Amino acid sequence: MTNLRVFTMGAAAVSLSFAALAQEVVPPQPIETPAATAPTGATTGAIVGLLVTVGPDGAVQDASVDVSGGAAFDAAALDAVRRWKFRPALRNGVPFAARVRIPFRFVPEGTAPIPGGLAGTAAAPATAPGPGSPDAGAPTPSAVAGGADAGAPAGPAAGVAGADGGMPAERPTPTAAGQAGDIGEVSVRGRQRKVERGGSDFQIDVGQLAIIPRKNAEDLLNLAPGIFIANEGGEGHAGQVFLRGFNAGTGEAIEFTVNGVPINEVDNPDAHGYADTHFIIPELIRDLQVIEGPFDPHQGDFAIAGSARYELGVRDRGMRAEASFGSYGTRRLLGLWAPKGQREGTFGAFEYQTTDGFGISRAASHATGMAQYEGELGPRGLYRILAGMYATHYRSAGVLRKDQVDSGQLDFYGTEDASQGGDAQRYMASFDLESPVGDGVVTAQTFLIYRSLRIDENFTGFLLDVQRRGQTLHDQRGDAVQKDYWAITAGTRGGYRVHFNWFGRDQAVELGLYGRYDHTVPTLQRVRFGTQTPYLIDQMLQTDIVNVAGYLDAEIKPLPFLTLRGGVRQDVWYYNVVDLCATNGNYQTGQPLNVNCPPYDASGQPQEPTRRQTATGDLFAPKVTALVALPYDLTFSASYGLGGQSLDARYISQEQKAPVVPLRAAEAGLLYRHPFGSVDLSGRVVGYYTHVDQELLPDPNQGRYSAAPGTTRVGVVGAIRATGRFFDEAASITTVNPRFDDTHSLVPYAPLVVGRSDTALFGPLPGNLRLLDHRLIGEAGLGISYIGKRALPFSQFSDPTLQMDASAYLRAGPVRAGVRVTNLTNNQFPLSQFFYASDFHSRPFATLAPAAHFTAAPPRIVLFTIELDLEREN
Amino acid sequence: MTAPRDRLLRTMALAVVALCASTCGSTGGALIKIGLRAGGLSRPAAGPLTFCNAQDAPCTGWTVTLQTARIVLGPLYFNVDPPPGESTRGGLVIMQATEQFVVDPLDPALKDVPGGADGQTDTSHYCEIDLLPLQATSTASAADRQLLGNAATAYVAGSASKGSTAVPFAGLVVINTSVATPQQPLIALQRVSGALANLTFTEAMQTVELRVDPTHWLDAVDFADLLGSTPVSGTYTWSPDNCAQNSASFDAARCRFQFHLLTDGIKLSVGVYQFSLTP
Repeated sequence: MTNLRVFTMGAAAVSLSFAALAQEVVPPQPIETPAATAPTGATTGAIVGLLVTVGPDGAVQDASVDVSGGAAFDAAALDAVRRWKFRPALRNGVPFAARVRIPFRFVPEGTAPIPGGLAGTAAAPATAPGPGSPDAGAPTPSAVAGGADAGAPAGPAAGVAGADGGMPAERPTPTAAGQAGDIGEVSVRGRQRKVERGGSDFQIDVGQLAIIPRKNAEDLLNLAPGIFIANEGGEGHAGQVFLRGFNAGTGEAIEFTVNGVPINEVDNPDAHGYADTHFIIPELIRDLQVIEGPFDPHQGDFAIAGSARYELGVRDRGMRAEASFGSYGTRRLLGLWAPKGQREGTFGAFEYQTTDGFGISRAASHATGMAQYEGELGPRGLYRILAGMYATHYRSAGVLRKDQVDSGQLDFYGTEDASQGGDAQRYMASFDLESPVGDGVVTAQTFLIYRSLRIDENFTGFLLDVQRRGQTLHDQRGDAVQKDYWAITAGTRGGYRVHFNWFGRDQAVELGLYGRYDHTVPTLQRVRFGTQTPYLIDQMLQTDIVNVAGYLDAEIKPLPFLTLRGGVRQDVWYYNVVDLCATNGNYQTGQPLNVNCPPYDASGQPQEPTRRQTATGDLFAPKVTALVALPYDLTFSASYGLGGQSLDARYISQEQKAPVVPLRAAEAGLLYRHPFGSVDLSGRVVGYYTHVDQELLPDPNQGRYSAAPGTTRVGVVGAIRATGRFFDEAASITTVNPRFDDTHSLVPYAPLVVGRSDTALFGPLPGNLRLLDHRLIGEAGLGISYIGKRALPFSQFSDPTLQMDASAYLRAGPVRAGVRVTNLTNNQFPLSQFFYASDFHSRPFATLAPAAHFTAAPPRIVLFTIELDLEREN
Repeated sequence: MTAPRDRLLRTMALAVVALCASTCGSTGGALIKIGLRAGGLSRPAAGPLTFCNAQDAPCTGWTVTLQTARIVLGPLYFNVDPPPGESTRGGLVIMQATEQFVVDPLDPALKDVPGGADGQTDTSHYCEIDLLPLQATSTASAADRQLLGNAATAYVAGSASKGSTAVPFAGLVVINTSVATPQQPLIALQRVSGALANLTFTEAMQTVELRVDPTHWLDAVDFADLLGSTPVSGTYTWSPDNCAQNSASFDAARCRFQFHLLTDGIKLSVGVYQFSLTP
């Protein structure tokens, strides 16, 4: 008895051909995809290519064999596909018969499948390299035959369109005059699917979970298990990300990219690796890949705790205008243009948001523009041109002393220093292409970024500006720090992934490169309390940092049930750092005034205040994942990897090899995915271990993160996702036990348990309710975040918090209106808590001993939204 | 039978590790609030205190009898490290008492200091004691306020004798810019920088006890410096103006007297301020 498991090439998509010619064509999208049953007694796999005609009613009208895999397999595929149901192809919004090319791959049972979805992923369709190249390599989802869309059957982008990382596009044939009922032919191409890296790889198709209220792109990270985001810097300040008990700070321990363009900022004075994702318009995020560990050779600098890759695309084509208004003077305008007939990657969008903020000193505004064109390159390739601009200005309340709030000196939503805040700008452009060449696929990208920011913060009040020996006598001027930064970043990345047959199975190897150059000017100045007037320079650098890397990434299937993925990566950094104030702090007794950057050293000997220092650093990082197919749709996953972060330029010493902060991680777990009728269910349980030689913890005295001793973490992640025609549910829970290596005490600040549930319900309202001749469509979302207690310094623990965010929308034709509520129950709780010494003159005399501080979590915020889809299809 | 049991044990161990995340361990240390009591030299009863300012016997210096003494102390900062300088703060402060209080060094009774002290568990080695004029917001008795006024840090009154010479004295210790010098700026004079305080603060209910020993206040003082001035009502006194070089009241001898009283007496790091923890 031979048991075979059946896979399609997925996503339908390898190639689609159907009749069409109109400029605005939407391919048919599978809704129900019963699995094919392999022929009895078959011991080998096979690939069958079918040409399927989908009628205007979505039923299969005709199916024929295009590429034979043998009579028995052909029959099995035909039998299955005739039971499929589709959402019909649309031309200018009108259904028409279309012919689709659908590949079926029959694989002997035991070959490792990747249950693609899991928490946060809607579908894990196969790759779509283009016609004639039916298998781009990645194993397709399990027995969801033709499971191109299994995870998003009811979503707006379900089906073919949902395949792989890129949106298949149509290439209209100019001669196929189109009327409904005609048979046209369209070729569809797509991008390589991201290779999945086992139990810690969360490829999140946002899909209907976009209903749940999220303030910005950063909030979408919550869809990945174990992530908790706090923000003590204000609306325009990067959030503080905690991942599996790892304090990734303002992004410095997570590698962030958007469409491959890096977001982490080198030598940012707030934190080396600071990642501000506020410039991304949330509606443009099509999917998000979060790898919670250093298991992918594509991961580079800053990928210590992991990486987060935003992919942009708009599935709902058309022109759309949206206005929101609500609590605390919040207003948001969104204009989004996704021309029909163009690929998902083609869009333009503008966003403006302003708020008075909850409480004192929390007003903010920002404006963003992003545009991208995705075009076709040669017979099978694609390219994208992306441009974006962003500017923000914001106030920040900063931290509050708990004793002052407890005693009534300060309001819970007050501030210690109302002069805190900042502004930022970002301009970026990127060009990337992806095209099959020979037996593989070439990818290449180049990008250019300009970034500037200013951050004013005051964590310690009047603690640090004390009289120093040799310094002119002065009163305390305050500890507020102004961080100025501007940087120009240019870079490139590329690779060639080639497929070959080995052991009778498809194998793949990729060689790639990455190069990035940053010219930065980070400055740290102390400013007088309550003003923006600098009085002292803490740091003033000019840096040129080059990061060059090469990697090898292989996907080897030595046994039918075993898949090995991974390889090695070599990163090299070159540092050229000019300290423009190398004599900072060299006060000299008898000087009439303090001199910020004096022309003498600490001993009083003359020297120039500038100093150049150069250094190099490197990191060789192995990363590997093993996947073992088990019975009952289970896959065992085990990964090991090493990640690292380059050195902050302020620590560079001449001729010294700049150390790289490494992290070693290992994990193992079980993954599961199985369709139950129209419901796609996936889940995973993963145990993990990480060790980092050096921890980064908040240093309030410097207003930034500083190094602490090494730490080890162990924990467990459980995640589940279920998607059906009218619902989408993702839930996860993560526990962690983080310890310092030397004292074995808990690492502070990170939550020890993080739970998250995202629930979306959507579909036509019962009773065929109509408004203005349009059927009413309802959407409702509920997000629940449970943040367990957090270990805090001095054996303190924060109280667990439970926050609910909800939304509800009604759509009637082109009009959609709704309400979004965050912190539904209006809980008043601290978002972050810190313990350190500060002196905000809360007592008659200076307070120099450690005390509790916190930042306030936002209260309930209600936003009403109305949206007009100017070109919406029914 | 062994294999299932091992599997069970392994499963239980993993579960413990996972659950431990939310139940076990801490980051170490604790924030604490403790009591603070202050008083004079430990002896059977309050009253005048007679001692030799040379701290020897038979006395080779002045025999001093203190009739009245007061000192304004606070805030107090208990530090792990020695302060980097008299005019600079530094190190790591782990405990603080941020209220001013008045101590009668001649009364051995310990009195509670309002507000006590707060900080973290750890071991301090030094204490910075600010010597500031009595603030309007500070808790002090009316009698002490009347005695000290709003400019003085301390008050001493008594008599000193050496051979046949007797010097009745009384005066306020005022630390202002008149007594400050470039070498001893005001900020340095107004602080006992690094009084020894080897104290281990724990989470147990504790109280810091501070005893002020005035017998060392006058160790370096030569009462003969007062004899050149005219006594008032039979008592020799002084003022900070004695140190103001351009003032009509400038008096080098009485300025020297004040300087020794302050810098070699009241500000002494060893012997004057005695800290202990109870229980």
